[in-house]
Amino acid sequence: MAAFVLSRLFYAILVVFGVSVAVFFLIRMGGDPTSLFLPPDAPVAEIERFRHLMGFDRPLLEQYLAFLGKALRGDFGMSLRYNEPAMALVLDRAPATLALSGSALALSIVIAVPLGIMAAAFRGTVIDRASLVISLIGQSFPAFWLAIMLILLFSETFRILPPSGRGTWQHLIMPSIVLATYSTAIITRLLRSSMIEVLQADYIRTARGKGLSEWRIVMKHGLRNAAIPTITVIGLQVGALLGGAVITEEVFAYPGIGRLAIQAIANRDFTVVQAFVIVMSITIVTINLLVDLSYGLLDPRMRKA
Amino acid sequence: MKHFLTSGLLLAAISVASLPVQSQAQDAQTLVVAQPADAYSMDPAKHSAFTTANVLFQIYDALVTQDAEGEIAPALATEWSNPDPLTWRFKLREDVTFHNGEKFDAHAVKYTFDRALDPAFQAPYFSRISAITGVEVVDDYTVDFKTEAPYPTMLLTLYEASFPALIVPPAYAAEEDGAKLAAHPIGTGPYLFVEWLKDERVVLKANPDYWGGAPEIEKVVFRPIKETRTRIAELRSGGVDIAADIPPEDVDSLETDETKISVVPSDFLYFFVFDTTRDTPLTNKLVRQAINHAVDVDAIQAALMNGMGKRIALTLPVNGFAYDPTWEPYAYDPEKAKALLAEAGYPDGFTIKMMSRKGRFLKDAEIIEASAGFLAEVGIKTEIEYLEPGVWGQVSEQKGREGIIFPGWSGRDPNLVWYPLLKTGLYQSYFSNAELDKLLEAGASTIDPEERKEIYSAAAKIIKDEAPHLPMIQPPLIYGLDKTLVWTPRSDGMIDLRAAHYE
Amino acid sequence: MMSGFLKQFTESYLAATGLVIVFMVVIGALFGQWLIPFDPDAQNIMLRLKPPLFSGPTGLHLLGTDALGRDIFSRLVIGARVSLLVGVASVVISGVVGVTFGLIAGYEEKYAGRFLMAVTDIQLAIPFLVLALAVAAVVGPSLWNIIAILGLTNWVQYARVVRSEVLALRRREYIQAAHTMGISVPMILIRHLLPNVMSTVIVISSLLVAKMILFESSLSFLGLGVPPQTPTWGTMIADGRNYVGNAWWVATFPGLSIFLTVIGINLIGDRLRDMLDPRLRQMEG
Repeated sequence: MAAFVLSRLFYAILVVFGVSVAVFFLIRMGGDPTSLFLPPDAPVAEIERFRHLMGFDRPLLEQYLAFLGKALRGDFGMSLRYNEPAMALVLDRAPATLALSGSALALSIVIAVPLGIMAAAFRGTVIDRASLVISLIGQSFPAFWLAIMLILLFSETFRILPPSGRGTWQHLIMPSIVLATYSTAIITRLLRSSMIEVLQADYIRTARGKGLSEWRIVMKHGLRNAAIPTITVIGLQVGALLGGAVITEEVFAYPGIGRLAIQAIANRDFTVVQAFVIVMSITIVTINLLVDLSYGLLDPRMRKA
Repeated sequence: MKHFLTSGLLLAAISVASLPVQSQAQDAQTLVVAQPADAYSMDPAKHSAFTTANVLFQIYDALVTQDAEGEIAPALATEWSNPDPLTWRFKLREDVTFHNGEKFDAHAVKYTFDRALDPAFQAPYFSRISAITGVEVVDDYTVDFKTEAPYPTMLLTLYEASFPALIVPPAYAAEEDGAKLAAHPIGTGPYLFVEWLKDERVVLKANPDYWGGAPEIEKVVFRPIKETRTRIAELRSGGVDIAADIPPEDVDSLETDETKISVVPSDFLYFFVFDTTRDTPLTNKLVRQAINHAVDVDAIQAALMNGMGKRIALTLPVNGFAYDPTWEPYAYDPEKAKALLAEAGYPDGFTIKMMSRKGRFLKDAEIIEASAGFLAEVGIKTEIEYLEPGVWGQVSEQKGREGIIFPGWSGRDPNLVWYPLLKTGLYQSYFSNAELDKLLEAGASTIDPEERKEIYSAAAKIIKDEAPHLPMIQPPLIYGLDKTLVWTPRSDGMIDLRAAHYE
Repeated sequence: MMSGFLKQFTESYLAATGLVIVFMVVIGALFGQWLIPFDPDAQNIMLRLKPPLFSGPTGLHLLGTDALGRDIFSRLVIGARVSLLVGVASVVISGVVGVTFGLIAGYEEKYAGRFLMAVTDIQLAIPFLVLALAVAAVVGPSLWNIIAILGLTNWVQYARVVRSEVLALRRREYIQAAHTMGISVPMILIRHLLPNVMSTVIVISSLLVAKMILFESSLSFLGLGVPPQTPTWGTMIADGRNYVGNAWWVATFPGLSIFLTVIGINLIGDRLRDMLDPRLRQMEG
């Protein structure tokens, strides 16, 4: 167990390090923030002076080593725009985004799991086709478009939901729906196809032969075995949800991590982008760990591995 | 767990239909303003965005301000003079204190500018005030601003749209190396700071002791809402009282029993710049004139701007210094454009790049693509390239803008527009003319307004003939307002809530 | 043999519908320039935002005109080509990268697998926008660059799902047997494991094609889309969103086009999955 935890920890560090390296250089390829900070008529000398003061004119490797040295001591630098510690800015926003992606994921699972099971159990029937159409509708319009349509409908026309901001649970409804649509579609489809596959397997036929009720077969054997790919996808969706939060938060003016990140990227607020991806990568590594652990729980054959 | 979640969501879905939405704007003593972006800092010298300046201008004052007619008017300074061409002297109000009780006087003014002018302070808008070489305290309520050369546009450098010119309290601003001011601002303005939840809201409350008279509205909230439809939805549903940047198409639908529209032509300039530094047909004056004749700017204004905004004859706002109403833009005349192109040696036209950012300014992409359509009609094919703003900045810095460029610019004095954009060799300039250079230099260092007007009138003739730009319009600033709100927008884009009130 | 396949394929009413839809889109993509009533770039700003069935001086605008007075129907037809290209080409890139990673990572769990999964997690944590911006800055937002960005940022799903399936599959008797018989690893991966994960791959791909077309739209929403002279459905929706309050048709028709295409692709994908999966075929006899 100790070896397992250690190797996992080493792995997590590897991933976080890899992400920080990649993002450090990638974000700098898009130019530094000097021109975004200074007025458009700033003279060249002033641009150079500012760049020098901020250290953007130093060799990239030198800048990276400076960043790494500080980061190892827990100092992720100051936000260039807000002039506040970058990591604190990111962590301040985390609860808002967690609330949003959490409720979106819950919504996805609540809709997708029953829908996927029913579609598989009643394959080829109206129920199956309905699940197909529902999952297709969800993923055929861009998130921002769906968001705008919901706002038009529920905020402008019926005036029952606040169009933007944060505070009450009503503020969470529309963003959660928008964020959940794609995940719902993919979880439904994948669960259906895995279930269908499992339901053809030999041991299921044996179970049928034993005269177990179809419902029992679906729930007990089918679901358990279809769970692995499904959980993998759900785990993946967490990453996608955090990514999708960028656009959703932007449209609904929801003060979460995604909105902070999109602005930091646009403003080349390097330190905030770096702090953001470090938080992201730690989250993703943790979720993957949970997903891997759940394999063992769900599939006795894998427990030995 | 799953059952709990399901029933919880179901309950939520049912109860939402019966619950009225809480809206902050229902309270007549609260004013909610929705802008596209959040504030970046509460320190006026530490940011470079109008959306931030709009928040800070309620908390701080500058020495001078802009009146309803758009003229510079007294604020913290009551009067000014030029004892010599290199000095601007200001008399200050004597009855002003900062929100924390600190006294406003000449030392505060000197501290404000010394702080922002210190290179180590890294003020983003340093270049706006960098012509000031020193601030001298004459007595407690008199200050001198020194410059190296005569500096005619000093008043525009000291009013609120020149961001670092807002006056800060010296003792408080020095605490914790400025961190306190940046988090919890203290100024002399009509509103006191209450709280700032980043990306969510900035809350202010009325300052009953404001030297200009206490504001009528008790509480002001600034909310950042980037997406246009969302801002409109908030306005419609009563969540906000002022929504900035409304598209022209939505003007009619917002004139209702609950909302109204307020429009002002901005000081901002829409125009195309022709790159004459590379070897393209644009180096030929006849081609530049042809393009000026080829694009129907009036039609663009009528269709895309609903006729709002102001047509400009040269790249200067019609309310700018030295603007002459007798100036005429090139008339829309595609036949003449074709003739000019043929005369220049391009009877079949040519292909050229167009460069811009997209979504940066009201209808920028539509205007560029509409202009490209007009150019296609006279045989000029365009390859439009939209650059992401950061990339645009990087490209601009290396003088990498090519072809026909849509930069967007503002400035109410030729010295703030023509000088940086047309003077040979400056990094924003893609044009060179020796005669024009001399005039622009002269205009930059002359204080006497009449003399300057003559200089710029001569410069205007050259600019018209050489056609280094295709001047288009001053786009409108369109605000959606709560029907009962009385508030006047300003052409420079600054939001001033000092006189705002409900009917 | 081909006709037999097609016959079997179209036995499903839904699959036939899907085929018809996709066929029409492909026809539009291939022969669009001869089918359209207007030049898709011809604009008339005096006739902007006219509703569907508007009869202009130069003809009938079946689906109305956009913000610059361009004919929406013509732009949709021309846009089909680019949107399909974006969707399919980027999915091919993603699929090849992701499935390869997934197969290897699932089979060689120890070193190669760990390493590839780390690459996957790194990729997942890098915001899509950061990558898009870097590419846009260095090489410009051209159509193929955007396809490459989309392809190289969306393979993770394949990799992880395929890996998890391989993890389960490789303990099956016949894989173990192949292994003991000394069949080479690439052989096992391609001959024995790949066919078994194909059904999942097809499901993911059919979903992803749609997602890619929408992603292109998101890029436009964020100001990084394909150049404006190339109409795409995604850009049309992104640009049209500002008019939803007063000209619904500008964004709705490209939205409907994506919707129908996605349904078509999915119906085909579904049927293909059913037919290609050996166990299922056996079942259905």
